[in-house]
Amino acid sequence: MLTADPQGTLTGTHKMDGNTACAEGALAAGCRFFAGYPMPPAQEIAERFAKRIPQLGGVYIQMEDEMSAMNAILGASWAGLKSFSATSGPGFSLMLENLGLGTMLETPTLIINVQRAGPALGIPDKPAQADVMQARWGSHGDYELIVLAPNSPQECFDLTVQAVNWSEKYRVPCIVLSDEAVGHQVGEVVIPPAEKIELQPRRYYTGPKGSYLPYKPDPDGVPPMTKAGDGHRFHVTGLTHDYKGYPVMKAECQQQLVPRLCRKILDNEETLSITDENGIEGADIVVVSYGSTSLKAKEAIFKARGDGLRVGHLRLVTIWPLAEKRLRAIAPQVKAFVVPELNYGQIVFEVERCAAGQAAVHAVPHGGGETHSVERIYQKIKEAAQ
Amino acid sequence: MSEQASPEITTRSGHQYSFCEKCDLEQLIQALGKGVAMTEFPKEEVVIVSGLGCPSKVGGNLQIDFFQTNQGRAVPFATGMKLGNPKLKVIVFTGDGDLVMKGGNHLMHAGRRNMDLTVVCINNFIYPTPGSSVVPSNFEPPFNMPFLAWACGAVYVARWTSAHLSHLASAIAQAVKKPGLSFIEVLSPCQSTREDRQKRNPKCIGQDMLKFYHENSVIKDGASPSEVDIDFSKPIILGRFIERDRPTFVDSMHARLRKVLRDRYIQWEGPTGS
Repeated sequence: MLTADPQGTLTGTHKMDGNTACAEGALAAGCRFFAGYPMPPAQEIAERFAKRIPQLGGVYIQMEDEMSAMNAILGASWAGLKSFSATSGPGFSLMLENLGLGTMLETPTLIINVQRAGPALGIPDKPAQADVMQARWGSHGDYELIVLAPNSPQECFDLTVQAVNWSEKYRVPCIVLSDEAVGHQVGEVVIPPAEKIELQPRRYYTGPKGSYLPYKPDPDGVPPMTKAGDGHRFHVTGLTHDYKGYPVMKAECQQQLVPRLCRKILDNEETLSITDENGIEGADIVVVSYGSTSLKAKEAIFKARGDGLRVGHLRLVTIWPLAEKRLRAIAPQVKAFVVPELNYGQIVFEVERCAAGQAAVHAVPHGGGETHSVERIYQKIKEAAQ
Repeated sequence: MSEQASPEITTRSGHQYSFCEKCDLEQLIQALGKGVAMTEFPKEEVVIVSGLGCPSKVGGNLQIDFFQTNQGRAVPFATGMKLGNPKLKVIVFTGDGDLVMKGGNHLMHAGRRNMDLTVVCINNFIYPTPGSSVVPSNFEPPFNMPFLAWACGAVYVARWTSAHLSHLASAIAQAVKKPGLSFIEVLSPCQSTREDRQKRNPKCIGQDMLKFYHENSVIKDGASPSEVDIDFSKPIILGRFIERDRPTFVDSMHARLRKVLRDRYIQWEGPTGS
């Protein structure tokens, strides 16, 4: 079993902010390459990594923009390193085309997006959760990736490790979708001893040279990888390609490739779609939340339960792939979902889709710029219960 | 003789990109392969990164690790790869639209940083801006690419054409062996026999352009890049213009971090194991 390198793992109980915890998570998970561009409110991630990496062995580089940062982390991954970048909305927008390249080349890597108020420049140091749909659909074409949403500094550490592990397991770029409130929140972070942190090794091809097929999948839909310099002299391209990695400009090839890219993630919903549930059994109303809003939702639910209402909480720890099966299973058993988000309505439409008319769905949208309102969520729960 | 010791870089048996009839990109495949073989580096350590367009297919025909990336972004991809594994010899081999137009900013910074990469820019005059003076319908002025590369900090700057293949192979070998950012412009006009291209580019029919280069170019090693702008009223200047020394990005990084951290600094050598 592969475990964390004790050198890079800051074992102990710490008081640190979410961003710092993300950086420590990346280090514990084995990331030794960071390329990024300054972008509040994610800066602490870059700064922490830049400070730590020269004493561990690895590379930190500030690139000229986020497009080159995204490409550099792909290149480093193909050189054999675990790599990551960190940014916020405006930078993430720039990374999208090349994030798509990452999904097409099936490159393990990680992006941490510490969401801020937008659109455009917005407010650099105030929270929002408005990049949720973008995280999944932002790049052109069909692909799937994994997006995790921490709600505390501890989760920033844990979910960053999880994201790196899954990016290796499924050969896909993963995203940790934090927000400014979580990123700058200071809290206790317990980092276990390195031997207790299990890591997913990269699935390298071990067969004979000359027989390597870069995109021939294993039974689970994920092809074994190699790295530049290993002597396989392979060919990879962002064009639609066959098992050999050569471009094939035919519909049949497209039909073979695209479903596999999507299915390797969607077929694993049960493993990947982590939820944190409380009081769903017997509930009339279920609040669906994620990230920093979940802390406000929890308070609102507590208040509503104090009024005698039967309210459950479904927190999406994984946002994508969506916990569809769970939502569809809950819908016929409840009167309504209440979906507070620090945006003008994104996940609420997914909940509506999954509810398929079997439960009412009440949005609690928010323009962003500050964390959500306990009072507004509470009022909506009461309204939903009538 | 073991496969690794053989100096030849072979072409891929499983796949070959095709080019138009009479296209001289085909010969660039041989020149690139020969240049790499002349370095005597193990083939396993050489990587080619390209982008989009016809020139970007050239490297894909050789039996070398090959990455085709998004247009304009070959240089930063190559940067990440080289920094990740310093033992690799990374060659960016693609076209002018890719490298200078869309990827201009990245080329600039790779030069400024003196990233240890070899950049071969195939200027085929099809993409509007960088090489446009040949295309009658296009009024945009071209770049003087060697000048640009030199100004950005490249340590090796040369220009050849697809009519100077052995010079080109030697230049590639020199460039790959030289630490730092090496830049080679290769004039290789699109000589498409495709009707649609001929309509856009009536000067580029058949071998006319290549003949023009052969007859109207002059080799001036050491010429100042500021004087090698392309203007079809005067001879095209070819040669190895610049060869100088500057600390590479990694040299500067090591020096700085070693000064600050002293024996706590761990220098990155590359990934171990497979």
